[in-house]
Amino acid sequence: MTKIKHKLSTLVFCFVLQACQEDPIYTYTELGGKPSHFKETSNSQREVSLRWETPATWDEQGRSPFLMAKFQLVDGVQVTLSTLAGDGGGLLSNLERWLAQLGVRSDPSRMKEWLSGIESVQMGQWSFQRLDFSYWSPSRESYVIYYGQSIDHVVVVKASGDPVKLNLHQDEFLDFVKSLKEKTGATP
Amino acid sequence: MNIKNLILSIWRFIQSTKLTVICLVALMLLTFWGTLYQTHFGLYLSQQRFFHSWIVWISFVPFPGGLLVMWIFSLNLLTNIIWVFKWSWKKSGILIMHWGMMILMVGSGITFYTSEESSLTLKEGEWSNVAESFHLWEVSLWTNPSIEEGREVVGIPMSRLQQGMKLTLASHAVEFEVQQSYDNAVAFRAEMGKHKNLGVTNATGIVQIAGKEPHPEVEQNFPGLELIVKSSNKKSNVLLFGGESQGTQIPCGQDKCWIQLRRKRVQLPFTVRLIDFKKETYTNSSMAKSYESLVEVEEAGVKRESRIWMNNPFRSQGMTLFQSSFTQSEAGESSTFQVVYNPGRMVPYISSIVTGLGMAIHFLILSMRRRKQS
Repeated sequence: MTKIKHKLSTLVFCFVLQACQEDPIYTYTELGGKPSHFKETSNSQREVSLRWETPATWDEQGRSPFLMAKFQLVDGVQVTLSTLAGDGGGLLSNLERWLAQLGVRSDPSRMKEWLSGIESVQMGQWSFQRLDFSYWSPSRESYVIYYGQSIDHVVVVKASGDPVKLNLHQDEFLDFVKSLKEKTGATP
Repeated sequence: MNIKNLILSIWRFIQSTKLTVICLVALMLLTFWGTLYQTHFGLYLSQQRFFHSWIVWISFVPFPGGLLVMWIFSLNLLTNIIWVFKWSWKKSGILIMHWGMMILMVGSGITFYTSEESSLTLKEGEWSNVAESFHLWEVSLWTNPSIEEGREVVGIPMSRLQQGMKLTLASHAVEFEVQQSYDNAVAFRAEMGKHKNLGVTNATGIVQIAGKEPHPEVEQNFPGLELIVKSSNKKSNVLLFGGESQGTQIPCGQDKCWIQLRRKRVQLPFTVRLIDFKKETYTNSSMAKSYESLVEVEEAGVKRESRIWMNNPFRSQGMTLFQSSFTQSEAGESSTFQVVYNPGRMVPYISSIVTGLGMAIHFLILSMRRRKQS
C-alpha cells in the first residue's frame, strides 16, 4: 500500500511540474504543395499585387488562400477582393459558376437579355463590368460583382448579402473599386 | 499549534467532505459566471478566464479558477479513495464508482494538457502535413524556402515573445528582442513611392503596426510584433503581422532565414491531399444539403483514398479529421477540416463503464444483503 501511495504522489508531482513549465520551442517538418497545373499558371503568369483605400465603416478581415482581402460591413454584407490570372477562365464560365453558387439555374435567353444591359467602364487599367445578380435572385442572398479585365489578369470585387442592403452600399462599393491601384516597385 | 498539527489538520481538510462541497459550489459559481460572460465575450475568452485559470479576479476579489478547483477536487477525491474509504467487499461498488469518477478527472486532465484542435484548408489538388491552430500563434523560422521538399521549421510560441523579452536561438545564431507585442494589431503599408526607407524590415511592405482592441471572437484577432533581430553584428528592426502570407527574410549567422508570424502549426503524422470536393445544394437555393471531400492520405509511404463528410471523420494515429467547411471562390474550391488530437478521447467511455459497473455491483450487494435479512 505504501508503495502505491509513493508512486501516486510522484505521478501527481510530475503532472503539476509539467503543467507549470513554460511553453517550449519546438521543431516540425512542413510539407505541402500544389498540383503541377497550379504551378504552371503561377510561373508563366505574373502575380498581381493591389493596393486600395478601405472605407471607414468596413472592417478588414484576414485574407484566405483565395482572397486578397475580405471586408465585413456592419449589416452583414461581405466584400471580397481577388485576382485571377489570364482571362480568369472567361466571363461566361464565371457567371455560370456564380449563378450555381446562388442556386440559380441559368437560362440562355435571360442571360442574353441581362448581359445586353451591362456596360463596361474604364477605371484605371481595368475595364470593369458591374454585374448585379439581383436580376436573378431579387429576394434572397445576392451578389454585386465588379469584374475588371486587364491585359493579363482579372480583378473581382464581390459584395454578397441581402439585395436591399447591397443597394444601400453601392456608393462606397464604387469608391472602393475606384481606389484600386496596382502595386509596383520594390517593397521597403 | 505546532507544525505537525497544522499539517495534519490541512491533510484532514483535504480529505474532508466539506472540501468536496466547497469545490462543487465553486464549480457551480464558475459555470454561472462563465455562462453570463460568454454572452458578451465569446466562448473562448470565457473558458480562458473562468475555467483555464488558477485565479479569477471578480473586480478586485480573487476567486479560485476552474483549474485550481479541479486540481483540489481531484486531490480530494483521490485522498478519499485511498485513505478514507474502507477497502472491503461490502463497499466495493461505491469504491469502483469513485474510481470511475477519478478516471474521468484524469481524462479531463489529459484532454486539457495534451489535446489540440486545429484546422486544415486545402484547395483541390493541394497537399499538406500540417494543420493550423484556431487560437494559438507562433513565430515560425525556416532556412529552406521551399516546402515541397519538406522544410524544417522552428516554432516559437507567442508566450515566449512578449513585450521586453529576449530570446536566443543558438541553432540559427539569431537573437530576438521584443519591442512591442500586440494581441490584436492593425498594419499600415507604405504608399507607393513614399516611406521607402523607414529602417524597418518586412516582406509585404508594412511600415507600421499599432495595437487594436481585442475582438471578443479570438479567431478575428491578428497579432503583431515589433522585434529587434540581431545576428552576427547585424541589427534590424523587423515588423511581423499575423495577416501576412509570406515570411520576412533576416540574417541568420552567415546564412539567411525567414520568419513569419502565423497561426501555430500542428504536425500531422500523415500527408493529406484533397482530390475532389463535392457540394450538393437544395433545389433553387444556395444552402448546402451535403458536402464531402475525397482525400488521399499518405502515411509511412502507403497511399490510400478516404471520403470525409459530416459525421464521418477520418481517424488515424490519434488524429481525427472532421469535414468542417468549404470555400467556393474565383480560383476554385477548397475544403476545410477540423483536426482534433485528443489522447484522452476514450477516457470518458472507460469512466462511464467503470462507474456503471460500480453502480451495478453496489445494487447487487444491497439486494443480496436485503435477501439475507429477510
